[in-house]
Amino acid sequence: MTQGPAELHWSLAALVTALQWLFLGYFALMNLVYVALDLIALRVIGRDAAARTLASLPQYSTGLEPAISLLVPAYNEAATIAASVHSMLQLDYPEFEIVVVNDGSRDTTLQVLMREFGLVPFPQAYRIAVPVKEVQGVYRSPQHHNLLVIDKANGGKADALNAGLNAARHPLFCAVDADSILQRDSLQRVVRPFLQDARVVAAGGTIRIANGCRISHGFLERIGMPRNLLARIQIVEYLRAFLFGRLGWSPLNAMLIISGAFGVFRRDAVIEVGGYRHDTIGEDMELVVRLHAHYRMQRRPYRIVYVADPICWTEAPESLKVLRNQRVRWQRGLMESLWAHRRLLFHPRSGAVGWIAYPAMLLIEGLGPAIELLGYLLMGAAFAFGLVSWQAFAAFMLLALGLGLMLSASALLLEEMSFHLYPSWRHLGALVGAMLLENLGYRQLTAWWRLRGLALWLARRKAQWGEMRRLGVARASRQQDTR
Amino acid sequence: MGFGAASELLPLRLALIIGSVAALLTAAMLVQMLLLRWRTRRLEKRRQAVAERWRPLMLAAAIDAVPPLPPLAARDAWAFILLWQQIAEGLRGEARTRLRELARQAGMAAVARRWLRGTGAARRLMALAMLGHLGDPADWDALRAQLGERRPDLSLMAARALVLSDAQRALPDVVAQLLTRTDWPVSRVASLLREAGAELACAPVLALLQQADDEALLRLLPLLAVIDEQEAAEAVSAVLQRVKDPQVLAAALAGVNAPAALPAVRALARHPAWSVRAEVASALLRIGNEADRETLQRLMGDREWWVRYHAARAFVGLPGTTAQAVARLREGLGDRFARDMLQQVLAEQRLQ
Repeated sequence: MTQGPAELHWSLAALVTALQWLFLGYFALMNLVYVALDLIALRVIGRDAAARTLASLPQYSTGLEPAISLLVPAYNEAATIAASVHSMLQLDYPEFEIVVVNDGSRDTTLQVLMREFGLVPFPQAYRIAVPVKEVQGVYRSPQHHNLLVIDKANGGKADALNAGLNAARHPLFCAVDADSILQRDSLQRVVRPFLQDARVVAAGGTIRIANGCRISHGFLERIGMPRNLLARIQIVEYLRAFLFGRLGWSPLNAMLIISGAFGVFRRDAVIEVGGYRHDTIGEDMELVVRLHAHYRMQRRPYRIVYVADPICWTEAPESLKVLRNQRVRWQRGLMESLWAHRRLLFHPRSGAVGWIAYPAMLLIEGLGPAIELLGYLLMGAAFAFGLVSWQAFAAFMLLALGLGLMLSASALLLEEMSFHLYPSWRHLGALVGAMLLENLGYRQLTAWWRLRGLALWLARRKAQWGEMRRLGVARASRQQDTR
Repeated sequence: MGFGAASELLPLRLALIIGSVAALLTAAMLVQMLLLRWRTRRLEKRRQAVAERWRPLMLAAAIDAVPPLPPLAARDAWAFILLWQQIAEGLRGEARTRLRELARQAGMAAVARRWLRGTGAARRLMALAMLGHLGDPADWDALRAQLGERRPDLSLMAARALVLSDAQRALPDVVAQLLTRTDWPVSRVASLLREAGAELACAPVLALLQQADDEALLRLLPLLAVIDEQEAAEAVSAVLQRVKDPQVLAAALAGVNAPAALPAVRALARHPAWSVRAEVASALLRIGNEADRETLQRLMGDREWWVRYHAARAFVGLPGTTAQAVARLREGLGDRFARDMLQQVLAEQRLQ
């Protein structure tokens, strides 16, 4: 039996209506989650306002701060590694060591380190708490007793971090990208949750965009606004991701991501779960999700927390190509991490992680790009073929853009209420402009790239260290992923 | 609004309403941002003006005597107290006393009392800090009442204010809170006890440890670092003999710094938990003597890396041990792990 034109039109109209409900439901759910996170973040920022005032008073070491091992994986970092290590050596913290892991660099990373710090071979009784590729040499610096360099066969970032983990001597370790720009008091700030609560196994800090800032001797000297539009938009994007994304999840003990650029972990906890996994491109997120799964399934008390203070600055991509590669990788990493721990989803023991954060992350961040782009495409097509009125099309665009703008504006407001790092009116104007552009094109473009990442994950391509060409805002360097 | 078809009416009306509300909220937030920015800049200007006017006076008071003071506008009290704290926290003795006098003359006691009665957490924190520094006995009860505050930052600041006012009188009350206030960071408590003074802190801390259960001990044992080493050694010895939990034992061993605890430490050298054996070795590095040579040599062959490492360090660090003697011993060792570890520790020593 064939359908007549009227019946066909009726069927299409019914389909369009169903899709409208689907997209409306999706947008409502997504924004409900975001608004809830936003409100939690608002409460936390309000609560901590007093503490921020006190933090401006002189702070003294108590002598009880746990010692920290900084793990710095380095792959082809010859141009920047010396400056990075020099700046890390100046960090203001009572006791720490720096463990640089040269992951089989093809350039002169090791030679630069040897020359710059006068490294000598060291007969380390190397401990293998987690298996790693062959360690070819261990070096120490006679001038800097807290600097250790491990030279190993190339095995990827996760393998390099595991090699560092094996050599780390202190109870806490901080995974930090070789080109991350830290503040002198970064460690003091990020270690606070460990001092306040013995259950804390990991803490992540806020990553900010270094483009446009003045960097001197590896430290941030003055905060500025980048000229490059993409970098500016990423400032708003990062504020959104960190200030209410992670700040919102943290009080629920359901934060699934700690940036690979800067995160502190309890060494014994990470060794207990087997260290970093080699077979994922998002080893930083995967580790955090695994820690959640481990402790939740064993019903052991733990906390994974977020420190809202801006403690690490990183260079954002300024070209579409580099940004695209980054986002494709992030999406793959996200899906790999979620998929690897799918048993968390609605598991009776998984608590807020399995019942709220995981499904929200899967729907909004994982599958979101597909639904969002499908929504734009189908509504556009339905409008073009006369299946929906222009008013209907406009109403949906208003919904999609209005909610996006609202969330970006709330992130800017949170920043204004808390850290207020961009003090001039010109900065504020630039950020509001970036907020508009973020929602009018940028988000849609990144959704497309993320969709590609999703497709690549489905195709299960092998993960590798990403080589990203950078312009060198802070230092001429290639940079690893910073989620 | 005329939608194309009745079937699309409801979802589209919803989309329109939600979208419009979101757009309005966006506009409202932008306005709020502008107002906040304007207010922040205004406050910053006032803060600078207060600093320019009052910093020289505060420094003069700290160095010599309180100079004649200009009147202070009520709206500048916040900036004044913040500046005052920044300077006072870096001072001790007479300089801080004179600075207190300056704050009293500027009328800060009344301001702080008013703020303490208010509801704003930031102002109450500042008020507690100010009243603590001023140390007026008349404020004692008001400060003490804040010890029970639910927010840890406020209750801890109240504790500090009491200690600053009268450490001897405050310590029993403050230390009594430690068993229940698990939300007080132990590092902050340690700072507070240091401010009170090791002598005053000793008795209440020791009494507290005697009544603490395993969980509380785990949290509070680091406080032993604040008190006299000899007194701490006796307390640690008692804990080492009393508790069974390896985590607590390891935490107690980490606090051993005086030879008086040696018998209790040695008794744990064969403990089944490696974390305890590692801490035994580590403690022997600090307090061990010739008599521990054999124990450490055995621990250097332990199956756990950390035990071997700490044992090797302790062995090399024993009084009267020379590098040559250790090198000779290393050659004679049958255990490869112990040999490797000794080699590493000797190399570490050479680099230092």
